[in-house]
Amino acid sequence: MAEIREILQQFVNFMEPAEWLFIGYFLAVNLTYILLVLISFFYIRHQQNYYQVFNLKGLFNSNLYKPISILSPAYNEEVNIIASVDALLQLHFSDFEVVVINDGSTDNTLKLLLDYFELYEIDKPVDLPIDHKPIKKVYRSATYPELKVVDKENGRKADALNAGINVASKDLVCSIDADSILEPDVLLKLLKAFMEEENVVAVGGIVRIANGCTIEDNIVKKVDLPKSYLGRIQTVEYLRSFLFGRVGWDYLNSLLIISGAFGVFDKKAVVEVGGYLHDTVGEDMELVVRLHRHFKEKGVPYRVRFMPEPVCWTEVPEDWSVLGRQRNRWQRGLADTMMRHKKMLLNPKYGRLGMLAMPYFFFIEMLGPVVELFGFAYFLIVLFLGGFNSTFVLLFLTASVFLGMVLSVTSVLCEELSFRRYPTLGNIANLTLYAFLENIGYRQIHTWWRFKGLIDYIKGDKEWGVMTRTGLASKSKVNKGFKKLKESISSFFGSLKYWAVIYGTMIIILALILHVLINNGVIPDVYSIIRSKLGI
Amino acid sequence: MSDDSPLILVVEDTEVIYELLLYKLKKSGYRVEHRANGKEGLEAAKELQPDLVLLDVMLPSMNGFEVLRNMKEDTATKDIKVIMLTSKNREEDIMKGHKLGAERYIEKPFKPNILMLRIEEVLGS
Amino acid sequence: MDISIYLLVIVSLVLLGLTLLLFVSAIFIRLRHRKWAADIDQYRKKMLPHVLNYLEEGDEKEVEEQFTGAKLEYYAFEKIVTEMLSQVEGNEAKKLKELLFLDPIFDHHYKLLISNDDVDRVKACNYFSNVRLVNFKIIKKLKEYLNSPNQMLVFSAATALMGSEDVNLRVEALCSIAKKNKISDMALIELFHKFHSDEDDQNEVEGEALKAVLENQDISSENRALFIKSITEIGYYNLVDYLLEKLKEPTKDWDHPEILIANIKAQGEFNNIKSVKVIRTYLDDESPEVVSAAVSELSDYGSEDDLPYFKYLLGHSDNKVKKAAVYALLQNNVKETEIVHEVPESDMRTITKYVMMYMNENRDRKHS
Repeated sequence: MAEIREILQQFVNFMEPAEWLFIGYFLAVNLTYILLVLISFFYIRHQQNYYQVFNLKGLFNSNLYKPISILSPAYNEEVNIIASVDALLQLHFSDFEVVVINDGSTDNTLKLLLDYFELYEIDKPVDLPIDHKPIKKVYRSATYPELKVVDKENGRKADALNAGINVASKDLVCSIDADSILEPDVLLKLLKAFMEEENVVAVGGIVRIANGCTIEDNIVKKVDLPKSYLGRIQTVEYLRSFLFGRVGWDYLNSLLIISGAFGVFDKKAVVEVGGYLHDTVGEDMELVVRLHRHFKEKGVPYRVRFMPEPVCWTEVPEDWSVLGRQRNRWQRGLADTMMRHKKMLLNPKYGRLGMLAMPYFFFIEMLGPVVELFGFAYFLIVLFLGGFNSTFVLLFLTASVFLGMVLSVTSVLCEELSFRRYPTLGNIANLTLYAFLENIGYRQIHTWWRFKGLIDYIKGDKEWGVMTRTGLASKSKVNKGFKKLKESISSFFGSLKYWAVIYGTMIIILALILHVLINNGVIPDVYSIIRSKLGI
Repeated sequence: MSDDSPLILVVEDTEVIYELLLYKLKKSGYRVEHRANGKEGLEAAKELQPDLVLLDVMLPSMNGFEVLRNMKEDTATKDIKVIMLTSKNREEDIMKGHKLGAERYIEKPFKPNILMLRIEEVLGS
Repeated sequence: MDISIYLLVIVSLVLLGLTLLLFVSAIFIRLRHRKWAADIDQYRKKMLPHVLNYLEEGDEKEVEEQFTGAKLEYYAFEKIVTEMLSQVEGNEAKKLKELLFLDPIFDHHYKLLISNDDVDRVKACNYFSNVRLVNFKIIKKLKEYLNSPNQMLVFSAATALMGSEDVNLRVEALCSIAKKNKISDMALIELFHKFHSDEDDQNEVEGEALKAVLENQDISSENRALFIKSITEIGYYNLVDYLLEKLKEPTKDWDHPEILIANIKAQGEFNNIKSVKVIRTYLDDESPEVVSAAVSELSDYGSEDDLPYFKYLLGHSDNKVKKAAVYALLQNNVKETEIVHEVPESDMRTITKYVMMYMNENRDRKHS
């Protein structure tokens, strides 16, 4: 025991000079967030005021507008493929095509498409400006001439999208995930960006969480919050990251991320920079950064926009280990993009991008988990050794928890001021509650996932990590019930450790509060009183 | 309004427009029914067996072409006359509607009085 | 008690209070919005039957009597009318527009138009785009807004002016918009479509008036090219000879690849047989884009005389021209073997690729 104390003490001594680093980091992060919140809050209100009155009805009369190709990569999506393609074909837009890319599925995806849409073979494109795994065949639907299906050898999502870009015949390409649910008027709303400004090369829309919503025929009929803890936490996360993260960066004209689940690009620009990168896990972010870099270096005016109005709904993982793998992958993708483009970091040649956005993503998003994790460890150990003024510790802790909460609640308020997609007052109360709960336990676990992602990146792990999807249709009831039982048992044990962390964090905080309160005589020290009463 | 006057089913989701249509049709002495989305429209066509369906293309849950296709595939509904009503003004759509078997294709913005004439024509033939 | 505990309590309370405040405002905003939506709905339900009655009977008074002076009433009423207007034309549309002229509504929007808030101004512009513009004061205000730094206000004001029956006013607005560099292509195309009125007998007059826009020296060549494309799309046939003159002897303002291409395509779209001779003179233009546009148009006319020159162009240094030449030859029933025979070994791959592309695309076309 004494030896352990010794080692820990050494660690504390070693870390002591870094204390200013933790506090500095804490201040920097929160100041950036507060700045982003303020910008977004006013910017979103400003935009919203106009969008309510700015009349776009009767627009888009001309065929000279930019038509869109929707690229939907599909790998073993037999559960959902027909419904999702059907829904895509129903989008409201005057001139668009749907390109489904069957990325070497091993299940019945292609066969289902062939039968349902009466596909017939057409010729493969001859001109291939960007490269990808070979295309086997290209089909067109006899019932919907605007539907093309590309059958190619298996690659990554980036590879499939590149093939899609080569097959696409329209001016704009819209990349989505196979399970993205687009709202019917989404393309019209996105096109506003091209209307407002010239030289737009990429536009992202907001991604919202479909778990908990009532979905019919791949259209969201009734919006509601997810039922599970993880689903609700992610709802708060998504609101925050889209409604004030991206809106803020859009205002500062340095948006670096467009979600892979939903983004529209100028085809010419994407081809000019060579399409998606094959050997990265963060191909969506990497492409946007590369576009920025390319056009900045070329000195051509260009714009990358985020529009908070067009919505894409997506199913998020509600299982701890799947979510962990997803976040791990995001972190690796982020790190990979940052390292590939580190030339832009703190380089005044790239303007606000180099001096603001890149440093933010590099130091706060990418390296943040390292600082945070050491911070937590340091804090726990010092606490264990009893070396702190516990009131100060509690102060620091409260400030960070409450600040995180204030920031998240602001995004809930932004939502209220603008789009109000969550219908009931209960939803608002729930979101506020989870904005609070997120900071206790989940945030620490999230930090750990991101930290591991960074380590995995350094070790050179470029794998995707399997996403299991629940799928919106089911096969047989018995089978499903059995599978569900098995899944719930294994996920119960798998998630035990995470819950332990969450309750652990809560207990530590409660103990601290109790400790401080007793020390300061706010509540009587029952334990000592009893001891002294008993004469021990 | 007598019971043997023709029954017209209006499938349209814009409130002011269907209110206008219903008002005008009732004034002209037709019996009317209304549905605001494609799925319900299709079900109502089967159930009510109207003499004519006024069908919008941009509908929630199932678009007008789909409704029309389904109606023409079902023996119970394939003889019901259909007038398509839509804001899409592209040639291909008109061709598509025609190919699927719509009696008339009326573009929005439309002239309500002309629409009434067309309805009379279609019902008379 | 320790001083730090005061600090702790204060910080916690402040942040907690802030959270609570934000939460309460979120709830408050939601409730206010619900009330607002319910009110609108109520007004809508109240107004709609009267509007329908008016359309049938034509008694304006009946509608006018419904107004009690609440702001939301105007909003709900306007929504009914504009929604109908977007889908209805003819007699009903005329009657609806007259309804917008009722005094209380007109006055309300005039006040919005001269207010200092851009959002209110945009609202007013939306309204005035639906009524006949006759009031001099309003037109003056709208023109003034064309120079606003706020692009949305500019667009809305221009849209309102495009609703006018006076061609000269519309041309003036179009000119003033087209001079701006900030406006996007799509916004400009949209305004051009709004410039075009649905009445067919207007085409002649509008076409004449458009010459003034095209001649304006302050308009960039990109925008001029865009206008030519839109003229082609809408079909101002009476401008075809005027455009051909510009293609024959382009002045400095017109001698720009983008404009030349748009103009060549316009001649093709309008099937102007007289243009063939002029287009031929562009087969040796220095811009490869212009050459390929000329080749594609000439190919549609299918004159035997051009085939040798198309073959000659297979050896052009630019791939776009090569492609256009291949397509033109194949379209005019020249055999693939004959084409491949014409080219040197080094170009073989490129030319074969274009031949295949043509065949693919056309097989596709036949099927659909």
